[in-house]
Amino acid sequence: MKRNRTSFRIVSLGGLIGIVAANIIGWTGPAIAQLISLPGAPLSFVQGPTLADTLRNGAQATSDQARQTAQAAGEMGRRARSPGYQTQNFAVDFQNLQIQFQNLRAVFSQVAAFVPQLQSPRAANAAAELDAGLNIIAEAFTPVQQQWQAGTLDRRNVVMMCEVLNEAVIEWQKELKKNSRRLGVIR
Amino acid sequence: MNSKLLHFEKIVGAVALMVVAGCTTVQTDSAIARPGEGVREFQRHVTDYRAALADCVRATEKLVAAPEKSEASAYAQVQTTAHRLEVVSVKARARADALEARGQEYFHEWAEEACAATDETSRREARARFEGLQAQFVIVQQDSRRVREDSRKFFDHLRHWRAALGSTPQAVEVAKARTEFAPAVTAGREALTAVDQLLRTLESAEQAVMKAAKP
Repeated sequence: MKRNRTSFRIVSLGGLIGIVAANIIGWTGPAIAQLISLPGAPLSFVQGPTLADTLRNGAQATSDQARQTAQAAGEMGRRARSPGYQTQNFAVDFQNLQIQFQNLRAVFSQVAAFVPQLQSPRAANAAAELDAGLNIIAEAFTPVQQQWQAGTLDRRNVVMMCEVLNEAVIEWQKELKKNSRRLGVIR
Repeated sequence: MNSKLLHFEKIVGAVALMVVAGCTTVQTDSAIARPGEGVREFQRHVTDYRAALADCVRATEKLVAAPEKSEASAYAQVQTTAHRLEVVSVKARARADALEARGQEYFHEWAEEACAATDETSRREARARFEGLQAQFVIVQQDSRRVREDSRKFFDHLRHWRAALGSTPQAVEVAKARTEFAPAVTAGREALTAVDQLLRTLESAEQAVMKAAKP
């Protein structure tokens, strides 16, 4: 009996988030990895009375964060088009965009941590596809990050990165909505 | 204390039963897609990806063949097509990654779709037929992995140029990087070949899934 209670503590949400976060850290570059939320971080959305409610709240929070990330990329792109855009402006914008994107990963990871409870291959596949999508979108940061580190930052490249991120995150958000049924958000 | 604990265990047991019951509903309700839908969706993503990839490879081929005076505009065209490729490729590459990450587990969804018949006997028969498709799924996995790996090589070239040359380099810089363009074309063509193979595999997988779904 004591062992059962202990098992319940071990299979806590914090632990699940920890596993997901550890995986993400393994997949992403070091700069992005630093921004990952730590295991045991509080949920970014309200846990509902049922699993479907929780997933629905989580999907909504993820969708909202995706919108904010796309918006941040779009605004940064607009600013970067201006000839007066300086490296200091870039540093602030780039960090903000990375934080927005990382928040998106973090909130989606929290949603994905609930998916195994559905015991549905459809839901698990949908979560894996969306997760992989975020990993691929994160690659868009790389060329600009490399240029920045090499001191050869190119304003037009920054604009291009922002456009790719803006469009890709909007597409990802559409996929999230399209996958609501597979994720068990809509029955 | 013990009775309280027993009460707690009963509640936990009841919750667990509710979850299990809920899962049964999820797996058999109308939310299940039509047979073969998963394969068809993957096919659509890969087809879109192929179109964007072909455009980008063509632009890279033109860059290799471009005379010195039009190198800069040819390079700009590569960047434009690469931009579109980055966005369009996300869905197909994400699905290929997920397929690889989840292994055989991924195909349970396709089996669910194929076995979503109305009566239990038909479902059981469909499941048995579906078991025979394992070899086909292994080929889908292998081809997806090849697409992922070959695409990455082409993307690496494009990203390297973007980082090293920027978006609008001087003609002299483009000329200096000229030796790097031909290997990129090779990588792009290999990626296209891999995508074409995957599309053929998906087409036969879709036919096999449909056949398994219908007696």
